[in-house]
Amino acid sequence: MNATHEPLLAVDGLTIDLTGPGGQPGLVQDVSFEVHAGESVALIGESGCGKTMTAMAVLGLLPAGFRVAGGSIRFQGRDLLACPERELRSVRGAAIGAVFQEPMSSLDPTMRVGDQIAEARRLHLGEARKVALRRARELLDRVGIPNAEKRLAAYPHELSGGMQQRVMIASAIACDPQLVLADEPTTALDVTIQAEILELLRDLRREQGIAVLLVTHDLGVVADFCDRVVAMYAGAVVERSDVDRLFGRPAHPYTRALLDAIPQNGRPRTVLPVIRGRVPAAGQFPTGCRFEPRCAHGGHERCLQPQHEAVLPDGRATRCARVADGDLVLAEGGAR
Amino acid sequence: MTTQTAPAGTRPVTAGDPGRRTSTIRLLLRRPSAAVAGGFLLLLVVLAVLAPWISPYDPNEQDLSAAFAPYSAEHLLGGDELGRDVASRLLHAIRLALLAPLISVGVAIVLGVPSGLWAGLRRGLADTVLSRIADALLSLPGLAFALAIVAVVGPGLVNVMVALGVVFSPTLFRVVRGAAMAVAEEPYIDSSRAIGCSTSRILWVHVLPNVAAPLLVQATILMGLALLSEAGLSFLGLGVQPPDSSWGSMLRTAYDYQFRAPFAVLPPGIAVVLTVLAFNTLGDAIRDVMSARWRR
Amino acid sequence: MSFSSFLTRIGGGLVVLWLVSVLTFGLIQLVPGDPAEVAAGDSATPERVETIRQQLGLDRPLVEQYATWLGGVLRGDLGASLFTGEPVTDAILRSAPATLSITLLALIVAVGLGVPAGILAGLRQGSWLDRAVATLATIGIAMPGFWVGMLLILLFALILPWLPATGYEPLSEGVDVWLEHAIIPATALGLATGAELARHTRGCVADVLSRPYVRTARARGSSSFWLVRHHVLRNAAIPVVTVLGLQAGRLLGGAIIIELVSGIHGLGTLTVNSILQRDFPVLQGYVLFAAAIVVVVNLVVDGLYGWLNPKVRTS
Repeated sequence: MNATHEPLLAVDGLTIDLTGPGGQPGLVQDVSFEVHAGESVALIGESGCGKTMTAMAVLGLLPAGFRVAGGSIRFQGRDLLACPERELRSVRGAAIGAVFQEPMSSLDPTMRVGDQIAEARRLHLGEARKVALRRARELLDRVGIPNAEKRLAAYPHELSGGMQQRVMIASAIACDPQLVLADEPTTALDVTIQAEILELLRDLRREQGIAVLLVTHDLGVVADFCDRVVAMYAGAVVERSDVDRLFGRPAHPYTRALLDAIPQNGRPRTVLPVIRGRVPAAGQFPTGCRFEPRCAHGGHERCLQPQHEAVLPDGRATRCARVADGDLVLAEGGAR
Repeated sequence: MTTQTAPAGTRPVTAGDPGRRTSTIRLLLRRPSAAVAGGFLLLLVVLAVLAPWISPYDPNEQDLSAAFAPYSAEHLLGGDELGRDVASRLLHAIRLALLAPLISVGVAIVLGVPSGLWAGLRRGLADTVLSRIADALLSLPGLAFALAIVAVVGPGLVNVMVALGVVFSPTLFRVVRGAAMAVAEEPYIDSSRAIGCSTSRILWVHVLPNVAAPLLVQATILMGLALLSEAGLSFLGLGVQPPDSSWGSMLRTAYDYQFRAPFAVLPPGIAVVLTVLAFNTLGDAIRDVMSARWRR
Repeated sequence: MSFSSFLTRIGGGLVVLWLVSVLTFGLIQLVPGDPAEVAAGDSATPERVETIRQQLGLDRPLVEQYATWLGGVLRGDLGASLFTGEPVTDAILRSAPATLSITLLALIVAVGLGVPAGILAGLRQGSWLDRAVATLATIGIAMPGFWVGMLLILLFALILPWLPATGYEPLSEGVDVWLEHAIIPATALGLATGAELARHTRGCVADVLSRPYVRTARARGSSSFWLVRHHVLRNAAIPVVTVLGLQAGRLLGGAIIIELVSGIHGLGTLTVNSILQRDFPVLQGYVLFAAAIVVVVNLVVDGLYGWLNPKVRTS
């Protein structure tokens, strides 16, 4: 957690509004976290917690209706939110690569796989098609696709899900980025393939020092792969910690409840703890703590006030005012 | 090659769905384009009915002193080559402009809907044969086929519109067939049968509501197409025959005398465009409203 | 596309053509009363009627009539005009170039105007450009082609004497002369199709832009131009090509009326005259010819569709 130099990516106070009827100001509220060179940070949370929106904001690819209302996203020193579109385009695909969730629909069905991998190189390095395709072939080898020469000419639908995702990864690292954003890269894949993809990402990190921001809802993936964790709930960061301490000593009731909800081997005849209630719908976020309605420790007067992030003495951050004050002590231990 | 089937991931409706009957019309009315289009068509109907009373002149009354008269207080839209009042002629032709397409669409429905239902529900040999015939009919350039029928049975408005109806029927056949097939594949049809629903009940309660929506959309659009085709065929002299006149035949005389009165082509043409526009806009609006309902 | 599916498609086309031939042949049989009398006209002598009857082969059994007729068709012999005696095939081949050249030019106008407009509108959804294109397209679809032709003549030949009002010159006289005469009818013919294309293209482009793979392409740093060139065009082309196939029949039909407006002696004039004169062989020949063109166009469209959509290709 100690950076000897500037963080590669520093998100500070990012706030995103969902505009229009049925919208929600502060859909993503005051999100701050850092990613240092070469490290792997997980952005975890349930569906709809805003983790994907946060990642999209880094790329400047928020869908229509979503608007950044405040904060900054500093990448290699520059505030991406203040950059004009042209500059952003020079960053996307070059210094920041992206891997998305469903490779089948995230790859152009009418374009050969080799061309899709080569695309970033042609765009950013101005390489001619043939030259870029040669590099694409090397990348296919690198991501572990056999028969790379022939595969260059294949179409996405001719490949299996796992291979498609490898192609996605190859296209994301085509220009040797410093950071790769991976939005649920393994969710749509079989468990065995998941492990292979993660293995691949880990190798790439090790060899090329690529930092990874991994957006996921799967705690198992986080445990295997990431150095640090940023946990989000209903658009707010509720806890920032490193992996070991998150799993051993969670600093927020939500993370605690998440860990408790993981089915455990060796605990027969127990009722599986479940987080009761549902994620608040957009437009209906509570003004106080957003998790309070579902929190096992909720109902306190302090919970009804807007919660702010507090840094604990050991470096972890939490958004539960009661935990920060020491008023609430969470149980230790948990799933691993 | 375009058939109307329910968008993926949607749930077909059933007659008696709560909230289904209540506000389709109201939803339509809330859209300005639909309200204007529907209002315009309604206005046309009113004008057509009232034409004999509100028309300033008899449409066939000739007054050669007013031949090619410019726009004036006496002749709002001028006079044609025989001095007849253009505005009155336009007014009286509204009736044809609304009835003629109805004939075509009626014929198309009679031919296309039962066969489409049959092909879509029964499948098998009937489906193959009917679909091939539909393909063949659709391969014929529509106007050419209508012309061929006119050659056989002779010119005349009814003949032409019936011919067009035959030309349009494969389109309705395909739409109905597609919708029927989509419904037939729904699991609840099997369960309806399993609990003993008769075929006619299934047809009425399940199939027809789902078929009605795309059918209505396509039929409305065909009304516009029919009017355009009638205008063309009457322009050629093969549709409405004298002494009757439609906007299409008015365009013909305007064309014949184009050098003498170049702007005479405008009033009947604009009338056609506005009416077809109204039909198309209404059809599009119905489609949008219906597909929004599908998504529930 | 695999050879067997190619053959299947051709086979399908042939079946359709055969059905069309049956329908066309059946036309004469459907004439109420005696077709020979109808064809001969009111003032015909009994000998003339009989001559026509023999010419049309109406005195022979139905199946034999069809077989003879079909045999002739397959040999390229579509019979002879009842009025001029000219072989129908010759009449069609004589009149076709004018019609086909105008129809092709109309297609170029339609694609050249409609597709770019649709792409721009799709790229800038919700903007004034998008709404303008949508409105113009909606109006364009509602306008009768021949009326547009008359308006264009009014504007560009009568008010502004830039172009000739009527007439047609074949390409052999020079491209500029041909274009001078052909541009008004072609534009009038192609406008409705262009409007339809604009609408459709806009929808397809908007749909493609909402797809996840476009997000991936953007994440690689694509500009709008790159997106259109490398991703949108190919994916949006598929439905657009399908629309073109559907419009082929419409274009041929519209050409008939445009020819009258622009004073062109092409297939349209030939057909209309054949109807007015009850010249059945010519009419049958035209219907068969037009249907054949539409079938061929649809085959080409199917082939194009297979080429554009790799999933179909490799299945």
